[in-house]
Amino acid sequence: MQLQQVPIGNRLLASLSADDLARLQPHLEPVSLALRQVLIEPNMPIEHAYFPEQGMSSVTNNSSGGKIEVGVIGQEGMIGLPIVLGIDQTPYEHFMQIPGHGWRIAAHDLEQAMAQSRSLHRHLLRYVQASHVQASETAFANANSDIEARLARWLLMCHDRVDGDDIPLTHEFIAMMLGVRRPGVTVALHVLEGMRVIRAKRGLITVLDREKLEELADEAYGLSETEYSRLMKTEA
Amino acid sequence: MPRYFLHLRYPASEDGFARDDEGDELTDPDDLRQHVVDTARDLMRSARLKAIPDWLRCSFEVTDEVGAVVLTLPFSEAVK
Repeated sequence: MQLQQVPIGNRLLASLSADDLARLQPHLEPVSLALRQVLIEPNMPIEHAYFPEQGMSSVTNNSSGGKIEVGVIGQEGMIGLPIVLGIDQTPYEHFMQIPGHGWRIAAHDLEQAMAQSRSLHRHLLRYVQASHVQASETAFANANSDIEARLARWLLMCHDRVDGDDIPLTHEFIAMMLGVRRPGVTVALHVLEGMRVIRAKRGLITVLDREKLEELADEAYGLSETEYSRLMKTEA
Repeated sequence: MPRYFLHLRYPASEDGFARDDEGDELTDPDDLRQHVVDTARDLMRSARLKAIPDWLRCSFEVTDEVGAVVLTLPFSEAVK
């Protein structure tokens, strides 16, 4: 295997010490992550943890009324956090919403590596906290912010996880993310487009003015991203 | 299955027309009015937007796949 020669684009893996990364590397398998690929089924044993290099996965609550997104994970993170906590399943589905590629590791290999390296385990636990902060900020945004601000927040979170400024998402998907009916999203996008903050075509949103988007998101965006950088000691 | 596009007219200083390019598929065209009423009610109940301080001043303009207007529903009519 020539894994050592492949640059690591996943920020969580890249933030590990050289020793801990070397410990994981023999077990990391490159994988493509296809649109709508399910990485974790709700309430089923988690077989692999995934470290995306590109693309974005959604964490959803699959309620009777449809899926509602409760988290996003991309190149900053890892899908399969329960493994870090010694737990083998989660009630939430994890699937790819923007396709890409990354690495995966078998759950038992990751467990073994964490058992051998306290620093590896501690580092991944710091990411668990970063992820917890993101989920808490979602709860905060849902209670506190209007749809424009929540939409701006989600677009920023997507923008953080794609290369370039194009976000390939339908209004239907964004409606699912935000837990509102599609016309609520369509009108909010229409407003943002009128302000020249984004350009929306069918199935594609292009970020034109990120600074303005951050202004619109106001308190709904930034805290969890800053906390991630602090916890993982990476630059945002 | 027929697809219907729920364009939203809302009071705005300029261009208060949010065009729906994605649409909803309905198994039965007879369900259209109820679907639009349900959507309007859901928005009024839970969608808080700065751009729309009053949903009751909005209306849906629904078109079919060839772009013909098949239903206009003021939100005020969705309230019983």
